[in-house]
Amino acid sequence: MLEPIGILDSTFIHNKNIGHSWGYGNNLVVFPTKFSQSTTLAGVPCSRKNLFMISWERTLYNPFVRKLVNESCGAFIAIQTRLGKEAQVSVSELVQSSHQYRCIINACIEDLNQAADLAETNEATQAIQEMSEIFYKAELVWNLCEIMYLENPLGILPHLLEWVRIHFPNALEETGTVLASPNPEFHESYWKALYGLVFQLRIDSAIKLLRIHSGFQTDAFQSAFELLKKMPVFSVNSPLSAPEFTFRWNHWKEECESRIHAGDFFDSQDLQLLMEILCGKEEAFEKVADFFETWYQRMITQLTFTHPTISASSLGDQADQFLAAFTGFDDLSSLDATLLAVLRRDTRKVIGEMQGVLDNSWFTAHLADLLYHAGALQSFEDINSLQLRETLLRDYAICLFSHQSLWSVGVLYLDHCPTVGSATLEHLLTRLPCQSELKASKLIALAERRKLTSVVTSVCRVMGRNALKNGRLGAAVAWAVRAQDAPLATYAADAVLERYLQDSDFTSTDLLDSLGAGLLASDRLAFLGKYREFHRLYSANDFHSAATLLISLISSRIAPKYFWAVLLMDALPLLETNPPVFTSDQTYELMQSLQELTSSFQDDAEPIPHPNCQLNSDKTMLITLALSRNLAKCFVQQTGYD
Amino acid sequence: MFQARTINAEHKDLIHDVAYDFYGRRLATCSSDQSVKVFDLDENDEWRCTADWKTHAGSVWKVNWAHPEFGQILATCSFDRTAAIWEEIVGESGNSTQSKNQSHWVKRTSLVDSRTNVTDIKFAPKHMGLLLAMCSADGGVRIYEAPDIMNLSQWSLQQEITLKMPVSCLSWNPSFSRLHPPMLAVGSDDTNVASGGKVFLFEYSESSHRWSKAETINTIVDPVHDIAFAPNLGRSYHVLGIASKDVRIIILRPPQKDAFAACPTSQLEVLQAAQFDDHHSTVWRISWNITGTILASSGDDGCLRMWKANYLQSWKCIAVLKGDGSGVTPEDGIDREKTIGSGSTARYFKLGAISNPNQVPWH
Amino acid sequence: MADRVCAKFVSKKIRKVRWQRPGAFGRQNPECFVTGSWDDEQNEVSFWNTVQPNEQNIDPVLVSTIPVSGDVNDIAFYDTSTFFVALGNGSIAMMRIDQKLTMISEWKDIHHFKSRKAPATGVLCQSPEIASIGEDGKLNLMRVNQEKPYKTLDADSCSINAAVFTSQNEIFTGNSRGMIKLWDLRSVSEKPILSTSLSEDSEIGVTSMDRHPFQGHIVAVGGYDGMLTVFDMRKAQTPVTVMEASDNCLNDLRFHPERADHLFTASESGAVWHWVPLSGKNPATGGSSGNLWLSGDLATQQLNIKEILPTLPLAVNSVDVCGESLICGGDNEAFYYVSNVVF
Repeated sequence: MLEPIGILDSTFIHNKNIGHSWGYGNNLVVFPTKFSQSTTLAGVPCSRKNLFMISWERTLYNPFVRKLVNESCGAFIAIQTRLGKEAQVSVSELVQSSHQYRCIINACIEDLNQAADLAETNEATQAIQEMSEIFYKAELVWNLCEIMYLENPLGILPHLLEWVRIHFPNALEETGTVLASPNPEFHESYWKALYGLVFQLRIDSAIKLLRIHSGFQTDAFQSAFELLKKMPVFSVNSPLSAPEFTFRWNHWKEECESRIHAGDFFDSQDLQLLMEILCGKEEAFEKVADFFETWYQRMITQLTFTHPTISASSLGDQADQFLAAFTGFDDLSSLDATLLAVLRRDTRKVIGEMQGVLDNSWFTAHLADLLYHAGALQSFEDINSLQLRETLLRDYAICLFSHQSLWSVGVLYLDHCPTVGSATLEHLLTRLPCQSELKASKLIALAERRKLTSVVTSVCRVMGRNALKNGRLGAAVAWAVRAQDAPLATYAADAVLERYLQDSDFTSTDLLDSLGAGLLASDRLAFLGKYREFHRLYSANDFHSAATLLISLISSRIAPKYFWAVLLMDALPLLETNPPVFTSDQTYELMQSLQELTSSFQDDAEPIPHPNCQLNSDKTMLITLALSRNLAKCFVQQTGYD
Repeated sequence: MFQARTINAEHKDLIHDVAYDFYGRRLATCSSDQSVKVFDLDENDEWRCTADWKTHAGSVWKVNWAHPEFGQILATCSFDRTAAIWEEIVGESGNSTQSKNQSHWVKRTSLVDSRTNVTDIKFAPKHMGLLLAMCSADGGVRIYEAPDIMNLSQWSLQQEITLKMPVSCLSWNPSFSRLHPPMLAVGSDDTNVASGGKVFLFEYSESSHRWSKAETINTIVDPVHDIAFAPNLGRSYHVLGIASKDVRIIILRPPQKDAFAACPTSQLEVLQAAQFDDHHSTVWRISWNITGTILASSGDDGCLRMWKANYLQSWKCIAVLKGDGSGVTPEDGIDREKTIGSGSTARYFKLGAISNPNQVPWH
Repeated sequence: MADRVCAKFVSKKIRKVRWQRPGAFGRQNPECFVTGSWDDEQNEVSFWNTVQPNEQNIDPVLVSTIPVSGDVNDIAFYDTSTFFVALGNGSIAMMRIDQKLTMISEWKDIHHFKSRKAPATGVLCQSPEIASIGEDGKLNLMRVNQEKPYKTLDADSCSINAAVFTSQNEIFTGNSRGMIKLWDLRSVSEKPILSTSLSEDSEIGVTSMDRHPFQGHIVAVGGYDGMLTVFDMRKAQTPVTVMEASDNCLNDLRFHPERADHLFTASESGAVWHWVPLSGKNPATGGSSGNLWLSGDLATQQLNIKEILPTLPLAVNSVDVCGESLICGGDNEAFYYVSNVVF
């Protein structure tokens, strides 16, 4: 059963329900409310109506941990790229990658420890230390996973011993304390330290400690010394095969046992106990049971002296036994449960436990990825390893996306999720807020490279809308063209036309003069470009071209209806020229358009953006007059030619 | 593990709904005090109230943002039997800093077709255009469309569906696929269990331009208070969350296209993926996170639960939050204490101010 | 001899890096640099020192940091110890380096839209002139000790992304649609002297610019599509040389301040390139070396490209070089210091 986390707020006394709404990523806003709404309820006399914005998985946002996020991203990508080049990655390469990850974690732990020392408040120190501890434990688990899953399953104990040596330095520390004391051999922890060294198979150090003892020259000590020197040690690089080693080991053990029986160590109880431990005697281990901090340390040591060549597959059962004997299975700490699962190679449980304990998805995501590539995720039939890996990577990516800045790293992870990556990326990128053009451009570049066209369109549209809202018409047109979005382009073009009507001048002339390909984005934009060109031609005194262009604008229907009145008024000066610029056919066209306009005005269907578009009777008269006069001029000209 | 920051919304009455905008940088709240407030996240990472106005003549039940491609638009629905559409107008430049901080929302239209309490209103997914649906206590579900997305004053009633029982909630299916028609789910809070299924699925036919009932989920007969489709990130099936006497997660598998596919009624497969009665009481609200991977539910037990599916699609509860009104709250960061005795062995974490030193409780 | 590269993760995306260039007759190799971050909840400007009493470690050390509001979009040094910062909240801040960084003053909100702030995208100095450009398309001109800009030009209908001083009174600007304009600051009219576009038939935006340190009429412009275009201001209507510098946006480009035949570029695809002239032309004198950049289509044949770093997974936003030292930084929240760039 999960323990509820409480939100302390006095409003909850009266309004017990929790209303909620999701934000972007791992955050939720909650508030006290009452759901049954049969009537409107009178307000509680409490002025504060609080909203609580809750977020989680924030460990990764800590500046020291962020370094880990970025460094490990590099390591992650290195693995995926290598896989891209060669279909299979060798186990040794995976072990190297695992070392790299662990190195990064350890660097992070060090940074955190340093930061804890420099922290200003006790609370901050405590929080950082807790974080450091969690990472330490996670690295412990990771290291064990590396051993159990990636290393050679035969001859696993030497690796486990190394693991214990690295992570549990108490033996060395105690030895140091003893040596530093004035009379080491009489120090109360002398023998404990010695045993500790032997448990971790630090034989050389143990021998050195023995030498200090005044009784070193006695028979008992010399006998022990000799046996210790002769002890066969199984290592991974040993030229001996397992059976050969076992043979030698048994031989050595027999010698030890016979010497014990012969009473060699009668003089020193402690030495006798030492030798019994080396022989792997259960009773001896019972006597020193308290010297072991954890069940796995005892297990590893005991197995070293009873089954030194044990293989990884048998470890699971052994682990069960040792754990049962040490603490029992009730109330197992999550660390113990996780380590047990690793020793059993119960991958699903390992990941399940880590998910439950850790506040962030960093470990499960990277570990699962590593194990997946090692083929180790398929330890049980029902694990769909591909799905598991992708689910974990996606959870991690969502955590990254929930941060203002780390989303870029999240993109790189989703790139390597073949099934869910693309859809998730599309969804998350579309919702990324763009406070600046720089961010929008980067987002678009990212999306284009991944062929996520919906993201590009969406970002351009929203940027275009924002530009419109801010009165940046030129920028709005630019975004609309970029998105190839006709409605937005049309609206922007209309806005520019409206501005022109107001100011009698074109804003953003530089923009309009260079639309080029943009003209294809929408008819309205094309019209805008052409109208601008009409003005240019007119000011350059190229009246013929101007006139022809004007006609084409109206007859091709590319001009919006509401603008026709303006175009007709624009035609006026051209109609007054002599010789006429408009041919009679063109004049008829204009007349027809005027006719259409005046008749359609009864409907008043379209909204008129500006008074200049209104065709009142004065204007109609002016235009009609000008048109007739021009027609007359044309006839005269024609008859003149006949 | 959880961190919280507090915002004082300063409504004068109960808050009924809160909605983040598409990007999570704006927040709209609506209340029984008949007003809506909008909060914006500014450049210093603080939330400021930028608008506060009266919207209805009764409690405002729901507030919903349209997709930003259409502009900054809100829809509200209320006990006063109406729904309204609001658009933000950008303030004029030149004035004092006041105008820079405040924005102005204008009512574009009022939808007054309902004769009873309007219980829910939701914008449709953007690929359907500017469309919304609202539902009322008299069983009416109305779908409106703005044919010209630049002119928000013109909304036409596309269709009116009348159900024989009061409708409390609705949800649009967000997935966009050429293979499945658009879908709308509607839930009823009718207390009569004998009247049958309380969740109805409507589908849109391109050929007839009409919505018609495709399916009734008969396994859910208790009153339904909230319903929500999960965002679809590449799935071939749909996931629907339902808040009723318990939390239900339903999977809808669209019909497979095969050689004999000629039947006009869709053979939608309805499967139950999960059912949770952990709230031991009525569940009133459910909602999905943006990737559809976590479901949050609130019940009458005063708890909020979060549900997540693992890679094998098996759902379980991952967190529980509970409102606690007891005692005076010390103002000193994250504080933990075990409550001893009587039933619950709940550990309470005070959710206080987060570590961001810039954050000041907003008054 | 391989470059010595030192990487440092700083937990913020880096937008700009600039060396504090030593005084005119000082040492060749600079010691300190400034970085500015972007896209984070809290951004900052930081001052770093590369010279340590303990010679073993070449890791730059953080000396001082100032938090700022909004993205840091540009950093430009005015003199040896004073620099200006263009911020995403539309302000330009003035900072000084003593023992630590101090913010001296700020021109607030000089870039804005109708109702909200507009990011300032660049700041340029040509003592005593200081100019700033922004997404609102404005060009502001300021002097130190003045409270407000003394002149503001409504220069562009789109956002201006990059600009350089081509002489004491002329500024060359580039916008996000690839339009390039030349402005005369003494002119009364608000129109540019010259207006052209980066590319005839497309709307690829300008993203970066730099001016040749000795031959001020040569300006290199980087584009959104990764193309590097070189203009000769004496006939600036058409670009002289066009080369492909990357398959992606060119975020920053810098001529080496002494060996101007050498160019350094940083791109969105994570690459940092050193453009090395091939034949043994003497780079010390201005002389014939300028022709390299103006040699049009022949330019590519005279240049070799060297990768300073293996391609990074995320964008490199900025690069700066001085003497034999190079720094670059980008979106992977790290900067890279190369202490012996090979020429």
